[in-house]
Amino acid sequence: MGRTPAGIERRQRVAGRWLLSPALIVLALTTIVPMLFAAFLSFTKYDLLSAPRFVGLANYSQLLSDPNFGTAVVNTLEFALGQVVIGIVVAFFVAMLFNNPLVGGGLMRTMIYIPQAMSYVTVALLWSFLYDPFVGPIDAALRAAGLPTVNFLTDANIAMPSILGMSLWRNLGYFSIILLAGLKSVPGELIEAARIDNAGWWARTLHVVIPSMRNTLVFVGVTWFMGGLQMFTQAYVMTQGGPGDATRTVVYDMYQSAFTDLNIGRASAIAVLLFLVVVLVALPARLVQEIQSRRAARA
Amino acid sequence: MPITVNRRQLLKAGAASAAVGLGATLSACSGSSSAASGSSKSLQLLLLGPDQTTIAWVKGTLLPAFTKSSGIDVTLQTSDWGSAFQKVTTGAASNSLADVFLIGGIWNAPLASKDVMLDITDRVKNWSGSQQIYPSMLVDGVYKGANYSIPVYADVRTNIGRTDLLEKAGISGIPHTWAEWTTAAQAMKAKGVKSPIYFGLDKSIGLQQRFAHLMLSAGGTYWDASGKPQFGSEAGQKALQYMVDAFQHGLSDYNVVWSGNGPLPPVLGLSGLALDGAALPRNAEVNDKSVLPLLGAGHGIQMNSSSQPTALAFVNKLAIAKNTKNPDGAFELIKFICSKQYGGDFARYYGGMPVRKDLADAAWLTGIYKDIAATATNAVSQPSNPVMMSLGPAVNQLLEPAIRGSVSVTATLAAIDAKVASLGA
Repeated sequence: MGRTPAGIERRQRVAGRWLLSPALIVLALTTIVPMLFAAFLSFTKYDLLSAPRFVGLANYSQLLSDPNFGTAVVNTLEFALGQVVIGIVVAFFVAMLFNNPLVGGGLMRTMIYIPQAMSYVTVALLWSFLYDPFVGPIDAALRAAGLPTVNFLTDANIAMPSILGMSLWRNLGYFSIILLAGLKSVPGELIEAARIDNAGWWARTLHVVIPSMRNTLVFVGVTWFMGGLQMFTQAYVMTQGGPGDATRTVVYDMYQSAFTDLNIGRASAIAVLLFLVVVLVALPARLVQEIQSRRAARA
Repeated sequence: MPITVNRRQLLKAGAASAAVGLGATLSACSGSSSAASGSSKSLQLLLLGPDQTTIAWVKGTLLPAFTKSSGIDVTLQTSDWGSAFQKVTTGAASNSLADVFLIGGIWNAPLASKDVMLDITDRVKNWSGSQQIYPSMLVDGVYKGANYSIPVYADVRTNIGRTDLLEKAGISGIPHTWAEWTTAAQAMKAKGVKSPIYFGLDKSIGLQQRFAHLMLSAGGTYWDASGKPQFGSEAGQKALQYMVDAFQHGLSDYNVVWSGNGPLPPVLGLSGLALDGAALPRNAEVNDKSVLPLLGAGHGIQMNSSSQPTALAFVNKLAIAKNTKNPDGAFELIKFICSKQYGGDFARYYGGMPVRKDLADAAWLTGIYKDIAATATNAVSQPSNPVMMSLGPAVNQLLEPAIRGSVSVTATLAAIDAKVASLGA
């Protein structure tokens, strides 16, 4: 019976599972177990240095009634949405530009990608200097042009947009390259057909290119948005959440709860809520992609 | 001859490697403790925020001298101040904290209350060197009547001025009282100084520290005897009103924020008055040596001419990990570092003031450093309390809208009192 095709297939499946098991065990130990542990800690009062004490949903109810956390949520959403909306538009047009034959196009693609290769800490330190209102080159340029000083990181109304600008600069290359790959996969005959039908550049882009790139755009949007939800390094290095709480984000709040206040329970509750939000964003997007793929396959 | 492996052997090998991997992972997760596994003839020392010169001196001079005299090898660990508290707490939680470690000015109570540090009360009592440490600083290492840490250097902050900017504005000498500061600041402003008073705004808790300095100089306290927060007291009101007025009248600019690198605003000439310590002249030495002789230090800020001059001390200390395997060796190392022979150099390399009375006249204490050191004797510290680590950032955050004029002084202080009460001091 072991030699029948079904038997061979079953044995292969079992062998496959055994061979996968070391990787699955490591994955479980490094990802799933910590996640479950964090979920457990979110129901406790725990300070790292003494045993956790079960407090039920207290951490969650305190979080949801804490105006500081509310501010952090709003700041985070502003950052994440701003990054996606502005970022996708700019990255798309950069990709469109690179999709044409350009003199030095390869060099330009490399240059725009370079910031992505730098760590966020390095980029944040660099931009802290660029934004400095007294010794920074941007201020020097503004003054040379007869314009007033802009307090990029100390004005509560400008600090978050300033960080947003820096983050866009850092991530633009990466997402432009992904969108460029998406553009390259748009069938040339579709664009050509639209051109024959007298569709202008704008009409071709809107009705042919963008619909053909829907999956790529959804991927870029969701990935960028989820990255935005986890913004921490920029706020930590450039503003420490300030001025006031203008750049305080959810992950910054989580870090401060855990390592300044030693309130691991609250920090874990924030982590669990953030995880749920990320899942809620990612799952529908994945579902839409799946449905579209099946429709396309059927067509 | 070709080697053949059948399926059973392959599965066995897979299972074995999975077991080895699991074992290794679990072993890594359990953490290795220097304290638990270290030999009694070796120690680990964790220093926070040392620059390369300090590290070179510690490795090249201090530790070899200790090893020679005690026979104990010491391994040096270093960390920046920014993530240092996190490293100490996670190190303690994973039982991998260095045997001896440096702690910041307000860390003693937060760490002692969490049972991270060894109670060294008896050792301190039996150490004659402890009598040389300024009593007001030695007490900074006490929590609930027990000693947990030994002062090693202090960041003593007093009123410091840029004499050139003051003289240009017609002010001679360093202003001491709040009113004198206002007059001097107005005069400097008229001469084009952008932010005459620098209230320590940075990306950390500089603003809270200056507010604390002013409040303490007005006779304020953080808590009353029953533990109720007192930021809304008369002293708190006066201190914050003074700060807010300075910002609202253009005598201080909330956009003048030090990034943590490069010249401080007084060194840049953006400000002429500051509540600062040796870090300011040290910053001038590094960034613009020509400014160093232009800095002058007063004997402490005064609310008015009849009140006490107040210098504020942030006393950094050395502590021993609760789980050290070598408490005797660890205390020997602390005594060695804090000795007259090495304590002065340690403070000098760290840009701080010595904490020993017999080092008040150390040869390297000249000029403004000597003046700052002179204020150390009567310097006050922020109170020792388990919530101090959370208090600083929380108060700093609440002060930001106040200096921008978007929240009133009374509402700010009420919010601070409520926040501090919620921290559960």
